[in-house]
Amino acid sequence: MSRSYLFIPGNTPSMIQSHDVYDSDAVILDLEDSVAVYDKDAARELVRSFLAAHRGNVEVFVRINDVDSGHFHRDVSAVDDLAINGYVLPKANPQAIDALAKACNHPILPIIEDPQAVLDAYAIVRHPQVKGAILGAEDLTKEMMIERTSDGIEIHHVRSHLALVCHALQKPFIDTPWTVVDDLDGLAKDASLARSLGATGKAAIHPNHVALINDLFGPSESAIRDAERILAKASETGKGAFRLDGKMIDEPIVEKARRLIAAAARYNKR
Amino acid sequence: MFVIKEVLIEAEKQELIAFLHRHNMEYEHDITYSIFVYDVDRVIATASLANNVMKCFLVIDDYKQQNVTNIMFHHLVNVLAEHGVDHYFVYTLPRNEAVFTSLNMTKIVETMNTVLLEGGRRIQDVLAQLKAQYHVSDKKKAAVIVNANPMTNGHLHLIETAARENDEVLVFVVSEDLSSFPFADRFAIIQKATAHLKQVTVLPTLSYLVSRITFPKYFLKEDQLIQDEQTLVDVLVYKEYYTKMFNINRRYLGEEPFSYNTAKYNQVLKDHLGNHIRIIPRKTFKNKAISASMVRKLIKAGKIEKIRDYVPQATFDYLSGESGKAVIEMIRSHTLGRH
Amino acid sequence: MNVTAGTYESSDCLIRLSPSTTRKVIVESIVFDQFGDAIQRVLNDTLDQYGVSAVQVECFDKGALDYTVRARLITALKRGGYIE
Repeated sequence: MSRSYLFIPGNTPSMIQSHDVYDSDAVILDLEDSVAVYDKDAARELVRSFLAAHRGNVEVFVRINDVDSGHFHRDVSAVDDLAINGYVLPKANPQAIDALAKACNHPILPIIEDPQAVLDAYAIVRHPQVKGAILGAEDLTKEMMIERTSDGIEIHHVRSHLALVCHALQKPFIDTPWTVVDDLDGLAKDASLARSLGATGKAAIHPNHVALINDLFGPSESAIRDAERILAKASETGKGAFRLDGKMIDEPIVEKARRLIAAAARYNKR
Repeated sequence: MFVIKEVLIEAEKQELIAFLHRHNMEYEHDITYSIFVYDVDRVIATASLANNVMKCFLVIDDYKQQNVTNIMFHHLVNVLAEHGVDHYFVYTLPRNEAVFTSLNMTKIVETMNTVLLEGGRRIQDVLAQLKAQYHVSDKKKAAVIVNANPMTNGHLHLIETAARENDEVLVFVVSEDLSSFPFADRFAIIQKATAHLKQVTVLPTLSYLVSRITFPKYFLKEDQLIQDEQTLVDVLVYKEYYTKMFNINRRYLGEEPFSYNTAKYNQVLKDHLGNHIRIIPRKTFKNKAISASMVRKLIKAGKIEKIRDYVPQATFDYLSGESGKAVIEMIRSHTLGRH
Repeated sequence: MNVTAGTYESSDCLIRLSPSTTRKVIVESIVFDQFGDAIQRVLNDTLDQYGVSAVQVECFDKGALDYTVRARLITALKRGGYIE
């Protein structure tokens, strides 16, 4: 489960080239909002050409244009035969998910960015090809004609709602990016809040935000220790279910612990 | 991530003017399109177009990396391409020339305070193509450059004088379509009126001479006084490119008794080209020097028959035809320009 | 009319296509000495791959890697109708 998802403009070779230098767990090569209309074809070709030639050790997603944009099908087919970790689908809704699922073979990360999508979040996220959800608060608040603020009170409920939906379906919930490039204190507060509400990761629009996000969304020391103890007892007892500290521990919990330790290892915390 | 926003509504235009003023730049009134570059909610740069001339580039200090200029340039080129324009120009200070040459623009001419660059096409290629299109020889020849709005006996006299004194004469007709008589018609009239002169070839100036780009002040409505430097770009383009490509060793001009600005232009030409320039007295009729502006005044006053004395048959025939009548209508209902 | 793709930004290249009866490939690069040949090869290989021979390709390179050069050329070829 990735902690950070860095958006990289799909028509900017200098940033694509450095995609794995920024230390994010995942990158989202963007064909949508960061690419001007007159460059959509160029971005598509550049991303395709790049992916055909390279693989780093970060997760690579491609944000295609939305289903009604006129670029949708060309975007999908440009990269469908390549080794990507999935598509990021903006302006997601149940019909759009169906359309994308039909057209492609990769996992889907929908961006929930309008009120109806928030209300339909469960239907969107439960689709078998959907592997999580990203909150798009900028577009959501613009759609609702409300102000997007730094303490995020206006999206508080939405964050909780999506966190619940994603946790119920056991899929990642990726928080909306922080848009004030130079305000790292603001980012820290925002990311902490999202984490405390149940977000498992956060998108970023600037490389400078990655380190903080990684720090805040990685497993905490106490969580790592708990997992270590569970695994230690598990190997000690050699049984599928056992008692630890007077409580019953069963396989799903052990599995979660294993994944957490693996993540910690990946993030060099162990 | 930078966001480009087009300047569309009046409030945005006022913001642009204020933004430029804060950085000691003027908003130029021939601007047809402008953009702002935003970093979140802060304006950090701007650039504009006056048709296909890029101008008023500004990037604030904190963001003075080449890249913002690049992004704006790329956007402007795409906007032009959307309108089918693949040839564009920029006027900039000599110290900014390198910025635009790194964008693959090439310098056309340089004066003390300004550099003119072009992109998308090169003047050498365009003029070479023009030369081939009109089958111009490599022999020495004379040139006349006229707007001819409309062609008068004065223009004919100038061309005939040049034809008498030279084996070959090129008559360049101002391509810029900012005069009452459309370019195509001015061109056709001159061709007809000079058909009897075998050594004369009529061809267009294209956008490099007496154009919005090289000599924008030529088309000013009121008789505002212009400085020498404002005619210099046009003179230098003629001197450094047209004379060489077409092997022109003489240029014929009519004397200018009326207009301060045209007299100034003639003087600058003489200063830079010396004996290459031949100034001949204006043709007169009944002691009055003939000029196109006089003819237009007569048209405006409805005295079409009187024009016969001042213009070649080709011009008069045109005025009697349908397009000519439309032009007459237009002249009578609008204020007259200088040319 | 000429067709272009790409930009003059660092790590990018600008490709300009013009009509021609034969194939002409012209490269101008900030790293011409080290990479001029490689860029020329990528351009020619790509043209071969798509079977395009009658075109003039100008490449103004600002340090683009092979996949970028290739992508910009393919984009220009598509824009100019040389390929689908």
